[in-house]
Amino acid sequence: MVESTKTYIPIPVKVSRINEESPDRTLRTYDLEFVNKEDRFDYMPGQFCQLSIFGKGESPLGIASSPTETDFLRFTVNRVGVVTTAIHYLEEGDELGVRGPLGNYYPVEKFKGQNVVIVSGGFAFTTLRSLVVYMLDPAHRGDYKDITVIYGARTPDLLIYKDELEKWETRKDINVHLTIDKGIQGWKKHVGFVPSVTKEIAPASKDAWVVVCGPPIMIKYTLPVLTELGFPSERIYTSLERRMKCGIGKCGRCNIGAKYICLDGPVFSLAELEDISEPY
Amino acid sequence: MKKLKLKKKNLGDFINELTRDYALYAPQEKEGTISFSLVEKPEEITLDYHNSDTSPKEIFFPQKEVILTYQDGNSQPVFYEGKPFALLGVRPCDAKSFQLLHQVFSTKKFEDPYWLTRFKNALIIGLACNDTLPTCFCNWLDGSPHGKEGMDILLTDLGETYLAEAVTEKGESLLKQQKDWEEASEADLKQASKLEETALKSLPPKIESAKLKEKLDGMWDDPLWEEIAQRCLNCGACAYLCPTCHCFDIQDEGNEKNGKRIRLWDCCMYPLFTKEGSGHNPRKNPADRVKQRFMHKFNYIIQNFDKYGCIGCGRCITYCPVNIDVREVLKQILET
Ligand SMILES: Cc1cc2nc3c(=O)[nH]c(=O)nc-3n(C[C@H](O)[C@H](O)[C@H](O)COP(=O)(O)OP(=O)(O)OC[C@H]3O[C@@H](n4cnc5c(N)ncnc54)[C@H](O)[C@@H]3O)c2cc1C
Ligand code: SF4
Ligand code: SF4
Ligand code: FES
Repeated sequence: MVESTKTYIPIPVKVSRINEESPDRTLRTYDLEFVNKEDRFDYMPGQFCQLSIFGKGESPLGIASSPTETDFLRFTVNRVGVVTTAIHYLEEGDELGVRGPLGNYYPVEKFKGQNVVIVSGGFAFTTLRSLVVYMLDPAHRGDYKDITVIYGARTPDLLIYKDELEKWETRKDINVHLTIDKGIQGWKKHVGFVPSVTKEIAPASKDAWVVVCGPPIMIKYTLPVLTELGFPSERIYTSLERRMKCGIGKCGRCNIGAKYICLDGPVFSLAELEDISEPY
Repeated sequence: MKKLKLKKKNLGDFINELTRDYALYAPQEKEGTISFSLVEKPEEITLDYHNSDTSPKEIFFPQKEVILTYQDGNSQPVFYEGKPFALLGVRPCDAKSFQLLHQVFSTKKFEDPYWLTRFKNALIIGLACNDTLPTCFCNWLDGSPHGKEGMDILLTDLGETYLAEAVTEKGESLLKQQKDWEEASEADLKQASKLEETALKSLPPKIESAKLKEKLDGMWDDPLWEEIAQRCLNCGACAYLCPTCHCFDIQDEGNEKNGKRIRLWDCCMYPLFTKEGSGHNPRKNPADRVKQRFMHKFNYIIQNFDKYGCIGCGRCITYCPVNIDVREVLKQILET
């Protein structure tokens, strides 16, 4: 059990770096530092936090940094409503609160000795960046065989973490496939929606696990492709979202069927989801 | 465990004794509504009642509760600091609801400190139902009008006296202090079990409740939900009155410098409950929400906590403006 008196108390953090991810200014990445070093917590790729802005409220956001990056916590925030807009008003040096780590994580133990395929679209790439950086870390890279990333967005501008993607593209120990929905001048990588590009690349399903995160429509069309490629539903993982408040399984807001996404998830295997009648 | 008798004429003394050590809550009538309220004087309470209109869960899980205050970026949790609570006159169904809420708030990895602070040291003195209401159906859901689950002491009205039975060690030690209460006789116990029998007989005939969970497993696409949703107004009265509903919202009151974070009861019957930032709403149709309410109480809670999520108090039956009757719904579920 977590020390109970602190359950709902946000830990103070400070913005150490901001990166504008898209020219339309709706996506920004925030690196946060703990105000008090002793508050630092351990986490795993796939977990999330509640970011708290006093006077506005809290928003659940996936942790985009990897546990191997020990000096900051990273989040990429899409501006949609009250809290995410307030986060977008923050400047370097400003303080906010963080509650976490919450939820479960990608089953990196099960992935050991296996190939890992990552399929993603849009800004849902956040916790997958965490996973990739974690697996690429020299302390872990030896634990995994081939790492393949298939990542797409509507336009090149909307791919997040562009500098990092470019670096990965030059590395030998990871295969990166980037795609945009419609071709534009100067784009020499894949063109087409993530599901069809996945089909084209056809990552081998033997000894492989796949993690797929993105907009619901992308997931919907990618899952049959993965099944066709021979991935059993036990080896297909995804991360779910729901409107959340407590993040700890008490407020009753985020259930699908008998599972609470904040507590039993957000990471689920397709096999687990197939046992739940409620649509995800 | 001790079984004593409290003379009704001495009830006032007992209440005075309780108010010394506890923040005592008991049923009180105000403007035609019976609720558990703080007792200052014995005359305020009424034990001659069927059940409170609002659920006594509000003492441990208030409708609105400050969880923290913040100032210049620092926050402090706010916990109840008063005397431990004592509840007098809790009906057996409601006492059972505390056990379910306690499971929700204290298990599965995280403890809820606000519930625990209020509930942990509470003394629960129950009152058996000799006279049931036409809306009562605790017998369908592992309950009984004389049930003791979730109580420290059970009182049974025997006319001139209350039979007081200790249920827990805490109840036992309180009864041990009552030097001038008589021991209950065989005849008293016999009278109590007669009363229980009569009360049980007045309840509706049992249904096969044990089959509800399994039935519901296969009813995701059943037309029943749409049928109920056609009548339901999504007003949420059922959830606000329900002793087992525990959903809440968290909101901030104040500006960015000073203020407080509060939690408020919320309700899965409202469309905004699940509406996401993107505009996507996984339960956008009324039928989705009606289904959530019944699935949660009669399937999901059973899966997670091995108990029914309803205690059969009948409050939602009494107050639903369009007469949706959970008992009828349960029968329909069993018939599909
Ligand atoms: C596990 C998880 C991980 C996530 N990861 C990320 C991430 O990495 N990056 C990211 O950008 N997003 C992520 N999200 C989504 C993000 O949490 C939401 O976009 C964000 O919480 C929206 O908050 P907001 O206050 O800005 O929007 P809100 O102000 O809540 O507005 C959104 C909508 O909600 C409704 N609404 C507003 N107030 C209320 C109210 N009081 N009651 C009911 N409805 C109301 C309105 O209809 C409004 O249109 C994640 C979500 C989850 C669950
Ligand atoms: S669902 Fe209705 S009958 Fe059941 S516990 Fe709640 S209010 Fe009482
Ligand atoms: S009280 Fe009746 S009308 Fe109101 S939400 Fe509940 S079932 Fe629907
Ligand atoms: S967010 Fe409160 S139960 Fe999941």
